[in-house]
Amino acid sequence: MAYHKVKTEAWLDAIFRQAKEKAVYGLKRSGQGLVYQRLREKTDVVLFETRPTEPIKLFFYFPSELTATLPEEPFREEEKRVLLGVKACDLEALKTADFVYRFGDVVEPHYESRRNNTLLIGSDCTQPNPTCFCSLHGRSCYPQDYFDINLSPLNKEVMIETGSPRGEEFLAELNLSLSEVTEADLKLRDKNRREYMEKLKTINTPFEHQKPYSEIVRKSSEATAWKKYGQEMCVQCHACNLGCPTCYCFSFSDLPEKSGMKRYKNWDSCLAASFAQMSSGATPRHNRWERFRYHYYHKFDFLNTSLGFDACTGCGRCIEGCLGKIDKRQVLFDLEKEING
Amino acid sequence: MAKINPYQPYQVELLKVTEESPSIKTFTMAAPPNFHFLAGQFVEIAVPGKGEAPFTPSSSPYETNYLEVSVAKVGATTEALHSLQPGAILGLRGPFGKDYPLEKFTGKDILLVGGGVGLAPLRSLFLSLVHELHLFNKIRFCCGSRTPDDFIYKEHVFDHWPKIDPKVCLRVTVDRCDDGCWKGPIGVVTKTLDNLDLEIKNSVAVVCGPPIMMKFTTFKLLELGYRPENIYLSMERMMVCGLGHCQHCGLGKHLVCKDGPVFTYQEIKDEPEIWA
Ligand SMILES: Cc1cc2nc3c(=O)[nH]c(=O)nc-3n(C[C@H](O)[C@H](O)[C@H](O)COP(=O)(O)OP(=O)(O)OC[C@H]3O[C@@H](n4cnc5c(N)ncnc54)[C@H](O)[C@@H]3O)c2cc1C
Ligand code: SF4
Ligand code: SF4
Ligand code: FES
Repeated sequence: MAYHKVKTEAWLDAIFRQAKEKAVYGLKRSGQGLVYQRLREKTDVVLFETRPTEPIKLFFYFPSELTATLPEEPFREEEKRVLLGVKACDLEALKTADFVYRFGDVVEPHYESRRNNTLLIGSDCTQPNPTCFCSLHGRSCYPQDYFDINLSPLNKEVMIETGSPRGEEFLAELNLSLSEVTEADLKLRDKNRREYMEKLKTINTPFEHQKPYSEIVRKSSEATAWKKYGQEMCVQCHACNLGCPTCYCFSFSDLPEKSGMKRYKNWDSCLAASFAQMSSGATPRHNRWERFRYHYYHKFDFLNTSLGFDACTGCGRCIEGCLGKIDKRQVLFDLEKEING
Repeated sequence: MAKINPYQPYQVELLKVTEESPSIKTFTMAAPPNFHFLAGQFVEIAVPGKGEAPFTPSSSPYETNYLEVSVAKVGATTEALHSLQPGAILGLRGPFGKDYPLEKFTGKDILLVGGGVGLAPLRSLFLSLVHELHLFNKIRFCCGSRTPDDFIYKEHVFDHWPKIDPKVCLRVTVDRCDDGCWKGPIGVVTKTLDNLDLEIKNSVAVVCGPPIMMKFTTFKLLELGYRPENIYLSMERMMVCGLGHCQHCGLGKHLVCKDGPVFTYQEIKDEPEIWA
């Protein structure tokens, strides 16, 4: 909507002032990667670099959450929050969850409340991980939409792009002395962005594909790669589901209470044999490779049909976390090779 | 505006428990205010703190004060349900899913084929059909069960329903009868489908039962000349949310809870493992 720029230090000072009044989460280094932390006193915060290890869904639907009770308790709105440094892939991931929980026939009010009360400040991904492959999806590693505000680095300043009226309001609240963005600033930002994309291209040269992933998956129901990866290599650790920012499946666990019950909504995984198993023991996906294939079908075929794009952002978390050492890019590459004969 | 939590059950009172067969009981519960379902749709019933499971009401949709589900005891939730006495409090969500499209059945011969607890949704459908019998041609209701003891709705199947109207005809069969008490035909339910005396070209068939029965019945119906778009199947899948969020009930690209549970064979015949 509008572009501004400001000194990086001034931006951070303003953010920490906000953090005294409301919940603001920023990125910090932890082990090999980044994680979100609640900002309080002024500390180091990573504005750019790359996506965090943890998927964005942790902020919107939790590994286990109380979702209903008997007798019924009144609904409570979620607290206001700001997420700082959200990468393009995680903003993309929210499109899938929004489709299911927010814009479908039936709204999930807890999710909706968390979304409505969370301000998303995106930032360009300047250092893609070795497992990142958003580029292979034809996506960019810098946010182009779905943010309230986005930040791009400019030497000692940050370029601020507002993407929603809410973002504009927040920016006004920060009370910064903003400068105009010049042609040269935009040129610099675009040059930087081309460089990040070049890095991604280099990382992913071995996995380049011709057909869209959706077409590859749709045409490969009989491919032998499913058995190689899904049966021989997959150890069913579920990292590819639990760590994936677009996976949203869940189960209920109802626990007895003195005079009623508490219902928890827990993340589930379609890789689990029990996921589709009926009480008779019958299941439509008996073999591990069939469940492995289903994970791809769901993201690249079924959801692609509904969304118009893959429900995979290329964030690479499933590759990073896989205990069976399976690289999704390689699987898709091998599938294309097979269907091309 | 108050937010509606779709995972929140409504509390209802269990009014009556009827033992139908050694493993199946019918539970009558008070309907919540403004509750209205159509035959073929399902509800999620929770035994508080024990679990929740999907069931298709077996009562008539025209009964607005109560609803009934007939439940086979097969696992944790159904076992807990079977142990309950009238007066117990249950959780109820729904109704969910698509109903039988009765508007497409008008003026036609209607064949219902059910086995075991699969008779539950068909009972609700049957009661809807007889409520407006003048709209339909002949109705053939073919019911099967493993043994005579396993038959549910015995009084209705054997006494009441056959006497409703000359347009209505029931055919019953059992897979086996060890003590010789059964005077009717013995064999799987597909056996009752010969010599139907229906105008197949102007007929729809509705099937509900265990997967193996649905499979062979469907093949038999195709053989008899039913077109895939005139064969209605009530599909079962593992379900959690019942409303299109959790993905447990995926049947190829369809979600059984939302796009079904009633499908025509035409809609799903090309999906993998539909009979699982
Ligand atoms: C649309 C539809 C209609 C159906 N209609 C009928 C019908 O009319 N009559 C009939 O007898 N059967 C019907 N079924 C089958 C019936 O839903 C299953 O038999 C039933 O789910 C078995 O539940 P169970 O808990 O006893 O079995 P289990 O095998 O023990 O559990 C199956 C599932 O129940 C849920 N569950 C168990 N414990 C908990 C817990 N603590 N908290 C939350 N969830 C829990 C879980 O999702 C679990 O995976 C229908 C199924 C579908 C899909
Ligand atoms: S499937 Fe893998 S790469 Fe795609 S969004 Fe999920 S975790 Fe990221
Ligand atoms: S992360 Fe790898 S090993 Fe684990 S379930 Fe997924 S594919 Fe299988
Ligand atoms: S039961 Fe949850 S999506 Fe169908």
